[in-house]
Amino acid sequence: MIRIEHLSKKFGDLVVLKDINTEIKRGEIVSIIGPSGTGKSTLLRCLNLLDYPSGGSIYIDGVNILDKKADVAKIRQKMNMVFQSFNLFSHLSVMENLTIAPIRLRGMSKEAARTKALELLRLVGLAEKAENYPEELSGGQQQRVAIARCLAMEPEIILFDEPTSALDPTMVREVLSVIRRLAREGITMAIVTHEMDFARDVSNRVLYMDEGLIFEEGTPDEIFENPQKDKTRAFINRTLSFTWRILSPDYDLYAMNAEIEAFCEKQILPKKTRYNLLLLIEELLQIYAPYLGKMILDMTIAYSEKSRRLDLICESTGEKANPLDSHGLTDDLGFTIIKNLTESIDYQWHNGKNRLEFQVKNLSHEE
Amino acid sequence: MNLQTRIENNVTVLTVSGRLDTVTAPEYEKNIREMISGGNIKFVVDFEQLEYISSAGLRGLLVMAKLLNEKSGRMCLANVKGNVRSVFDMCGFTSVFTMKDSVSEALAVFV
Amino acid sequence: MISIAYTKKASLFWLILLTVIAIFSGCKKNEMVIASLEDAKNARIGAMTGSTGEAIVINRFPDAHVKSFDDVMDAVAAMKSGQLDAIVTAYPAALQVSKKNPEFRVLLEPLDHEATAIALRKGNDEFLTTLNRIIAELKSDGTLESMKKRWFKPDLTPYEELDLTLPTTGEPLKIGVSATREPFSFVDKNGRVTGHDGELARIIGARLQRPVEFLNMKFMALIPALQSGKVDLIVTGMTATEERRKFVDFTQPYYDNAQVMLVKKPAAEMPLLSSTPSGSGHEISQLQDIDGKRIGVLNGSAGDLAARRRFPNATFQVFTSAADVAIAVKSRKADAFVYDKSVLLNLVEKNPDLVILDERVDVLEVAAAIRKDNTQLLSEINRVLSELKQEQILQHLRAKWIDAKYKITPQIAPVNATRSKGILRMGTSATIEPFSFLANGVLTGLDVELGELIGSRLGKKIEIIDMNFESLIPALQSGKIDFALSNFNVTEERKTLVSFALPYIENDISALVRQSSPSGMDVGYGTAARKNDVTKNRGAMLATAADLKDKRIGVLVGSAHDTYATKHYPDATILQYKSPADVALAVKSGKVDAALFDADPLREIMRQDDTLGLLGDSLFSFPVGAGFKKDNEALRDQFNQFLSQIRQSGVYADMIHRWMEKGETRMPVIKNSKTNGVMVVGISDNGFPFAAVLDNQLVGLDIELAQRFAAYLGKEIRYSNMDFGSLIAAVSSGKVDMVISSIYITEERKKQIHFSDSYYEMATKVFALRKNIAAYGAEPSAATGSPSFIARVSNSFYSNIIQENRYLLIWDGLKTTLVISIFASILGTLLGALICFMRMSKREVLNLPARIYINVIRGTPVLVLLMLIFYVVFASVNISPVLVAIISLGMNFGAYVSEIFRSGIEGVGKGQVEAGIAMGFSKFRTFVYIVLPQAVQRILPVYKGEFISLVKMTSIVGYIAVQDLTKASDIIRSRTFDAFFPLVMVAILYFVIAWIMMQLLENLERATSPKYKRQKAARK
Repeated sequence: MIRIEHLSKKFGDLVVLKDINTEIKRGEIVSIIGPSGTGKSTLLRCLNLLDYPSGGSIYIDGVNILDKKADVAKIRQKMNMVFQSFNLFSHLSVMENLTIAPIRLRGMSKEAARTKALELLRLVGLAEKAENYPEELSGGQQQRVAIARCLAMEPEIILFDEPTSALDPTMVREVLSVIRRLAREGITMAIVTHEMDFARDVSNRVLYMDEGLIFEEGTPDEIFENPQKDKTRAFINRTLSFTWRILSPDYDLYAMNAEIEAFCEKQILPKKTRYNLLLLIEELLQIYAPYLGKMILDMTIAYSEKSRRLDLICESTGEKANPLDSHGLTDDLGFTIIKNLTESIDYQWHNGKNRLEFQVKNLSHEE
Repeated sequence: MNLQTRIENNVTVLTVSGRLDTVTAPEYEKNIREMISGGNIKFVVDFEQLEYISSAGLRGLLVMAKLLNEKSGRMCLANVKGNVRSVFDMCGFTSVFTMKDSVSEALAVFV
Repeated sequence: MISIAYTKKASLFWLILLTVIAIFSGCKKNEMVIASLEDAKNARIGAMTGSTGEAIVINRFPDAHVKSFDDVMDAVAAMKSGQLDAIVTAYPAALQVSKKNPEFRVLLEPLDHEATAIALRKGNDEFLTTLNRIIAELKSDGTLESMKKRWFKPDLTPYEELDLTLPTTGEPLKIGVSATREPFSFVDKNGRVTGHDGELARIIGARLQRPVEFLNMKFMALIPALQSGKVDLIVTGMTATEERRKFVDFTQPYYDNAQVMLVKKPAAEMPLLSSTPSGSGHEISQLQDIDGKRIGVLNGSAGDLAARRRFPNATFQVFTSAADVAIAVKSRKADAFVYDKSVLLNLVEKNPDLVILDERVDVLEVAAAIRKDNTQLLSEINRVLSELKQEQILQHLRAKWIDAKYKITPQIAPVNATRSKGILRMGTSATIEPFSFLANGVLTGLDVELGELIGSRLGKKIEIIDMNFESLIPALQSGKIDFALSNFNVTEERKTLVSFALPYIENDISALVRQSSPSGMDVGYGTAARKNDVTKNRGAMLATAADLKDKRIGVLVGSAHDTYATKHYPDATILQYKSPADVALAVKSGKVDAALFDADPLREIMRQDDTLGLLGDSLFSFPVGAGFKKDNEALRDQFNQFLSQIRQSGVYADMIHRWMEKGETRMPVIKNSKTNGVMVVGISDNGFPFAAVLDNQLVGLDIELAQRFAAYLGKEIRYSNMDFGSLIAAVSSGKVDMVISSIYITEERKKQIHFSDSYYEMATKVFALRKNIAAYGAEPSAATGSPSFIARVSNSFYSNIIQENRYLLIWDGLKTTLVISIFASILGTLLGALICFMRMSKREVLNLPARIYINVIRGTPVLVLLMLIFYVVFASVNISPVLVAIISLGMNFGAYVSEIFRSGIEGVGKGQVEAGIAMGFSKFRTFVYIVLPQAVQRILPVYKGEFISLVKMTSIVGYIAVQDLTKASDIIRSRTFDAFFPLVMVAILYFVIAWIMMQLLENLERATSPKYKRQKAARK
């Protein structure tokens, strides 16, 4: 029911959406995931014209809403939005928040609206709070009310803009459970979220957005289990990585160190881990030293927030061989150090490269 | 990498600061050779200011030890702590060198 | 330390030096008296800018100090205030001035003769010939002569115009006039162009068989109008100068004009109001002192009659000659001599130990007496007298014999004339110098000279017969003499016996007394400001007006006292107040040491308050006039005509008597047809006797004058009561048609408005607390112990609220205040909403004007805004001041409120707006349902405060003459001079209004707050 073609959006010189093309069919529940600042919310806000697109077209039930003659208000009544900051009307009670739109926009009678409202409140589990005012409710309660308010207008599609991002973990669950319930009802939903598990659970389609585009899309299984693109994968694992290519023996160790230090700082890795990592890298490079210049060596440091796992991956071109096996070492000092610094060492011949994967000891809980 | 020397009771106290790694080890080696050929054969190496050591650094120390052996010299390490110490531990160097917890203790070895 | 003192001293020295120089250069009060043209050699002479007179003066009196004026009246005012010694202008104008200002006279000798002629376009020779022919005819058949007599009258009797029938068909003759030069060309009370030239033009029209149309314009515009064909002729007393001949042609002259000199009569003859405190002992210092004493009189003289009337308790001694009486007074055989002042002046010249009292006993005219049935002689003599008057010869005679206090008897100028028509016998009593007396055995005097002149004009020989004064009338009746000239005062009794010709002299009857010893009061004719030497300076006490020089002086803001005090007391602290009540309050409460005030209202104030006393004599006196807008000369002229009318009819004198002397407080009933529209008169109720509020009505001399004037015009009168300081602005911006409020005629004011003729001479006096004035001595306080607080409060309450139904004033004021507050707040709120909308728009075309509006209005004091809108924006528009108040206060309120709205709106979270929009509400509906309720809640407290502020701000509307609550308190204060009660009362009322409003708004606030709604719901 929603078709997006070549949608683009610029804020001044900043291009947030480059070229979005996708579709949301009736009854679908689409999750939109991706790193922050990649235009997920913007895409959503373009759908109900809270932000006006710079280019492209959006068809809702065949009507191009970017057409000048389109009755935007009417179209908006088909949709509704749940915001990150709830945005309840603070001068109205919960009941009034729910009834104001149906009465004023739909012309419902007060009683009918109230009845419907109570029903919805029961649905979200807040019937007893009908006469309270937003300021008296907790964040989670407010958001549930917001959802109920959304439903009061019987929209065809609900847009969720990071509905749980402003909630602390204890309240996230209650809101998510409400959304889950709605999913079961068969309402079309587009949800921008950071809650991966939830997205995986609830949606029948996942869009991964990055670099102003829909980077990858697919079923939850496809995206979460088997992301095709690295970036996707990295994101799924919530892995952040840092790759360094070394082409010659005249690499700049210290420059590399600086980058690594920066990376570590960003991940707030403990000092010891940082030290170990640098040492590990230095020792490895020593081992690779004779071959540098004859090969391309890619060193990737990957850190997964989720598992707090720090990996060092060395991929080198050249003959299929495990560099560590080589007996061209003067002594095994380096090797000893390497062994001591890593949880595991894996060698693979992967995609035509010698791949050594080290899981670095992350001693966060020791210091 | 910075080397500072002073003589105390005929012993050369060598304060190493910074990093002893692939880049800096050769310089260390060079200095040591000079000093030893210059007649310094009693050394206390103070690791208080050393932030980092890799295998290259360790090898440097080994070279130093070998040279001193030839000259019947002697070296004692002081203030080997923290990350540097762990590296020593990893490679078993703790048993290879005499290590003391302070410079004075190390100097006492030469008495 | 020392150096600082030194510099202080030095600067003080310079300050004093400069002040002294300034004073001397600035106010030369006592100017020279000019008796003849020669005296003017070094004088300060005023002349009309660009006139022939100006050129003549410069030429003829190179050493004189010439000042140029645009208008004769300006020069007159200057001369009155002592800045000029003489004015040179055309005879007709001078005549008018002297008629209206009896303290001026025209010198007989003209400076120059000018030809007054009719101007017509060049190249119109045939027309010119025709006109010249007509003029020649008019000369020869005596028409012009008779016109001269009728229009150039020496008195203020109404003009008699020829009744002419003019054709109504045909091409009209367009006559250009500048109808502001009486008597040549002016507009009568019906707006009709009349005067000598008006009549002349009509005569010409009649002779040419053409209707006549007058185009009245400024003098400067006449010649251009003629050249462009807008008018055909200029007939308006225009002098045919060489310069003008370059542009237009002139007919032969129809009038021989002269430039003459107008001078002040010597100070002795100016009317003054002074009241020196009563002296000690038996010395006569005031006129009333004479009553009960011995008065010398000349038998049957007007002085005799006047004295007997005035001093019923006195004993009278009858003498036969003035000299005898004088000797009697000198030798203490008599105490006073009541007689013709001009004679007395003469005596005083010869006897310096005698003085004439200021206040005159009576006024009388001197005229020639003629047998009752000799009407022919009467008319002949009258004719001659008119001529002589017109030719300034009478004035010359007077100057020669009376005014000039001559030491050597003047000679009678010989007159060459044919005396072929017979003999006239003149009777006189040669015992009264300077009228008729023997000098060196020769009969001489004013009357004698006059007699000769009359004879010469009539072509008859004069035979003078000297006889006893009492015999004169019998001699006339029996025909022994034809006429008598002997300082004959016109009295009712005499009129029954003889006829009197036109008076040739107007005289005071005054009292001559011995000069008091130096230790007594300084009495005698002279200057206005005098020092009171008697009282010793008791330290901090005030003895004389000079003592004010370093004190705190209170004055009415914008008044002539203000200017005077600032000028004359540069070291004093001048404090200016808005109303007389404030001035009095300042004196009473010790905020100032003394205050300057108008003598007459001051009298009223002091009548009610015995803690105040006078300090010294009048400082100065000023003529008082009504003010008109600069281009409303017509109304001014009408007023002047009205004024002269009531003077002649005696109504004026009666008014003065009632308001000034008797202290009357009630208005007479004045009938008014009210058919001619409405006239708005601006007044300032500064108190009795000029304008005060009594029983919620306006009463007073000024009020009566205004009402009479309105009746004269047949217009309905509407008053606009405002602060004195606002009057001038009100009339010059056209808000009122005229202002009358004992306004001094000053140079400064004349720049902004036109003044009518003076209708009163107002003296300024100084008053202070009695206990501070040395003259009052240590008087025991009148009240023995002050009344209790309760008594005082209840008295106050009564006088301020109950008396004269003053509470009605308060009630009206309250209503006005409420009306203005409510409507201004409504207007302001709506305006504020609009401005807020514009301000919040992203479009520069809306945003910028809104920002400008907000900044400008918020940066302007609301009083200034109010006056700008009233006096400038709606300058000539007849708009109700209440409406202006609402607009101005509303605009001000709007500017502040718009910013309050904006902050309220911006305070509502943007997210909620998005939620509303996302739900499908239009931007507008989101605003109305979501933003507005929250914004209103937010701003209500601040809005409340602004509203209360607005209510209090309404107290300034008095400046544009709106009678609100504050003004009501001012009015009450101006009557009761009570400080506490009215102010406290009004403050309480404002508080009550504010409090009620606050309660209402708070209720609204509560009703709309969510908490309350919740509580309400919970209670259900």
